[in-house]
Amino acid sequence: MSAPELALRLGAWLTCTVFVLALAALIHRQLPLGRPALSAVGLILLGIFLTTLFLFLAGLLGLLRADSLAVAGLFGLAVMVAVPSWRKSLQRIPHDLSGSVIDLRRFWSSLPRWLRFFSVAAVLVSLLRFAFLIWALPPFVWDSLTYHLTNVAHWTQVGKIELFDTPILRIYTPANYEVLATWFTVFLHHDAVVEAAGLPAYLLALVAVYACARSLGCSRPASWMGAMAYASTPALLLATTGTKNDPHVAAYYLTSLALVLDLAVKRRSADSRHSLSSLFLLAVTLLLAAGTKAYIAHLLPGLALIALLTPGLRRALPHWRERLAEAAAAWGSLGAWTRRSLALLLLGAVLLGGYWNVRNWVLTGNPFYPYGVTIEGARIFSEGERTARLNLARLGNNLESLAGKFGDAAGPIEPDLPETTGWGWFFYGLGLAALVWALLSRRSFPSLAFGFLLSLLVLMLSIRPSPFNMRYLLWFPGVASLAYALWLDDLPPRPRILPIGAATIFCAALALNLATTLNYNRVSLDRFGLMLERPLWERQAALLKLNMPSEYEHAILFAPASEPLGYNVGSNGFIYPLFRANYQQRLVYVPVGESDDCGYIAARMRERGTRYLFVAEGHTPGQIISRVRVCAQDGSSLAEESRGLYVLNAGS
Amino acid sequence: MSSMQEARPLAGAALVLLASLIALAWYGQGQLIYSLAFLYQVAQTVFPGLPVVRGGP
Repeated sequence: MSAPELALRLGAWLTCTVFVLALAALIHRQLPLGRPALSAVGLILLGIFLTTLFLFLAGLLGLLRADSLAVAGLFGLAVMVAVPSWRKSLQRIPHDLSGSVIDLRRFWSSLPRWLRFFSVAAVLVSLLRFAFLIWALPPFVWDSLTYHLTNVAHWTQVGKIELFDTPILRIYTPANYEVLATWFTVFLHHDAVVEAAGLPAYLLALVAVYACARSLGCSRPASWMGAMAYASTPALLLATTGTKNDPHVAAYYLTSLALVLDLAVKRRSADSRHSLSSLFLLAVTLLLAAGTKAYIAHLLPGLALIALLTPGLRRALPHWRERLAEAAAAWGSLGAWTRRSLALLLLGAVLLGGYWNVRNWVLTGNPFYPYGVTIEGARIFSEGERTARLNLARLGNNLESLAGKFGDAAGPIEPDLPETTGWGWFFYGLGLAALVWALLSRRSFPSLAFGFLLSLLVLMLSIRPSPFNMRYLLWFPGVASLAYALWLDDLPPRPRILPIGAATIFCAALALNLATTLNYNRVSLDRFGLMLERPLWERQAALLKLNMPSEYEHAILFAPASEPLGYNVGSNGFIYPLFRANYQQRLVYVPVGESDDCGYIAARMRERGTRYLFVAEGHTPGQIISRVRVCAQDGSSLAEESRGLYVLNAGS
Repeated sequence: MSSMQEARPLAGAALVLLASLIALAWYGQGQLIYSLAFLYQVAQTVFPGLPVVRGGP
């Protein structure tokens, strides 16, 4: 990429970022929440939501290109400046920022000196770690290379959000995360920084835990330590730059919890608009989550239980009725334009929450395609290659599996979490003990803990028992972090050994959590070296041989990027690396049957407009690889260009 | 405040800390080698004389 082209692309990205942030600030002002921590949660959430919505609409319209997006962003900014009330609102952004700086100063000055030093060090090291991993390594996590990033690559390549012909049917699953990830590829037309797509969710989760702790009555330092502890959870850290959607679901769960706690704890709002803002943002959060991954539905009963138990079971109904009445009164007091704008935004959230499932329903008759749904043996939706089951036997299996993973003794914590929980040093060290303490000594805590437990149990009714399924539980360590924040505030200042001991264990646990994740626990120094030898624009997923068969490297080296590349992989094979880091390689799926003769395979390739056929050990069914090899050996229609790459014979 | 009432939070805090230390030791049995493996690898490049440990990434 030439320097002027790069500058133009970065300019387009900056324009769109300014547009989305300005819009988020405008809307944020209409949704006062009354508390700085919750306000920060609201702003980050709106940033994620508006970015996703902006790209989603552009994607449906076929405008997913840097130039089109820049024009749309500029147009949006011009409209904001042209409308007098919006312009006035924009002019107040510096004032709002100075208010935020005052809040931050108040927060900072509340921290003891040692915690300030530790926080600066932790934030700096975390930023460096994130930046280095994003910059040094291409994506390599299994699910990303099969379907998450495959969607991102196809959409970036064609400039449009659409389905495409592929054996990986999981591209049909709800894809709000993938839309957001496109923000990190579409402007550069490259995947150099796509691993940053988890960072907004990571930040949201961190601030949401802080806001939850504040709602529980914790002091600022204790809340901050709880939030830092959660943010150091290895499973979360690894998934954040692992281009997976689970950190987003965790962030949406914890954001919902922060909003629910705020509504449930307050006896009466000082400003009725606070209830409206919280309820509005709660709806946006849950809709965004519904369009990200379906398992948020399984977590909802736990949130509902917290909403019921926190104000007290007897008071719950009048309490929530009061909150709703406040919200309705606040809605009535809004100006007509504000009401219309908020209604339009809610419509956008409904679109993001429902589009994927409605599309699947229309196309396949099953909203959850490619998952058929079975509840206690009864088939609810049968269409699909996999089945989502909801039954007690599965709960038993999953709990047994969790017991085996508890304590992470089976092996290193890696991004796919094989046979481990990935909850790390803090959760098992300080978190569990604080959890037991909070359950026994804080009257308000059991309702929260039961909510987390119910979410876990309902989730375990349905998730497939597997060595890798703990990624669905990234939100769970949050409960231990909150218990720890409560415990910290109860810690007697004397004898000094107690606070000093607590601080020492805290720092050690967080440092060990970070050390666990420095290299994803699986990338050796040599592999880093091999990647760093290449310029940034030439670091390819296909070349990072952690879980990558050599066939992918051969495809990058020997298949011409100017011609469509045919491929055949199974339903869990990697496709993403074939697109190349700059998304230049056009791909076409070539279906091949075990009994197809060589002439038929060649005809299929020609019909799909390709001369090349890619297959790979471990990703393409073995019988098909054998079939293609036989065709190359007989030489009548195919020739082997390199390992895994076959080309049509000129005369065939 | 009676000395009994003062002693309760102290005992609670001390118990949590003690439990934490035990839990860390238990957790560390499985995870310590993995948590420090990469840092050790980096240290080996700086100090090539450090002994090679099997089981790292």
